[in-house]
Amino acid sequence: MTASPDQAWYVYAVLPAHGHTVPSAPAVLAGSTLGTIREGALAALVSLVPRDAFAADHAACRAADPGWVAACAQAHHDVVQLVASAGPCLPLGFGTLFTSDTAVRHWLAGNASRMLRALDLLSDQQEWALTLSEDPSAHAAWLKTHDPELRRLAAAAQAAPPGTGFLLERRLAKAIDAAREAHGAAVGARVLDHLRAAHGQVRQEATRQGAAWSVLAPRDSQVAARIEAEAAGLVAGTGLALRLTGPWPPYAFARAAWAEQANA
Amino acid sequence: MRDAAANQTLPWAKTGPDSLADVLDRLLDTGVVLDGQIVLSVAGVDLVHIGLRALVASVDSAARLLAPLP
Repeated sequence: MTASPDQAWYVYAVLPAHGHTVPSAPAVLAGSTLGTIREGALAALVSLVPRDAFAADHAACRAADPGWVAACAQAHHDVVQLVASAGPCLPLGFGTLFTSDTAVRHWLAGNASRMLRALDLLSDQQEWALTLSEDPSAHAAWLKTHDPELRRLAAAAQAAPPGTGFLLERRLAKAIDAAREAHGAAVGARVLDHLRAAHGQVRQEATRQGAAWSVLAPRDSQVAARIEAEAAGLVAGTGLALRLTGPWPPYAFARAAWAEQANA
Repeated sequence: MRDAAANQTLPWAKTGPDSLADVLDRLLDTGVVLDGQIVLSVAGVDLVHIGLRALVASVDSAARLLAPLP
């Protein structure tokens, strides 16, 4: 099917051209269907969608509507989840569109060797996401108990007369902020070292919420249980917390493949 | 989909899950569209340019909408 000028091809993922099944799932937009565009040994899993819904300069653009974005992203994920559970898959982020099937084929053909290499790397693998976050007041309380310099400052502030105590409290607050940052960074570095040593393929992500890592592990491995068991001691009682989710389609590791392609 | 925080057995897992928030975080916050790499890489082959600024704004808004009420 060819896209008309007011349509675009929404691409969910890149798959091997043979051996996959188009999943039975709702497409990213109601009224669209799932299909593939093949080129050589690769296929793009696609839906034909109205272009204006995504085009920033168009009145019908919905990309600024949080409810619409959330629903579409969930639909995108549901499709990718199904196809990733059935075989090798290079998932794309939400909102990747091409104006024609020719453009999709051109993209597949021009990057075929890198995409096939990435598909091979990700075959029978799943991704787990580990996030480090902080409860600031609990973390500060833990540091005031365990950091000798903070303990000394806190005791001095408490024992000092009001004016001096006020200034020492200000100094203590600054020292706690610095200690929180330093301790968070140190724990993050330990987590990364630990994951790399124990689980091999790890990517560190920058997020707004804190440090995060993606771990690639063979399907059906016991990696989640191992991470849970081993990581618990790294943060117990500190006011920092580690949270594990997954298994995910290999979003982060596919992203690395796209980045490699972009930088080539 | 497993969520380690959901089973409440882990002292180091902090908060309850919001699977939609997790999906959005995974797909949008660090996604290829937001970091622009895929846009740059395929701009020469006729990519429809999604409104990056609009999408970033919407993601921020979506995150606020998904936050638990006090």
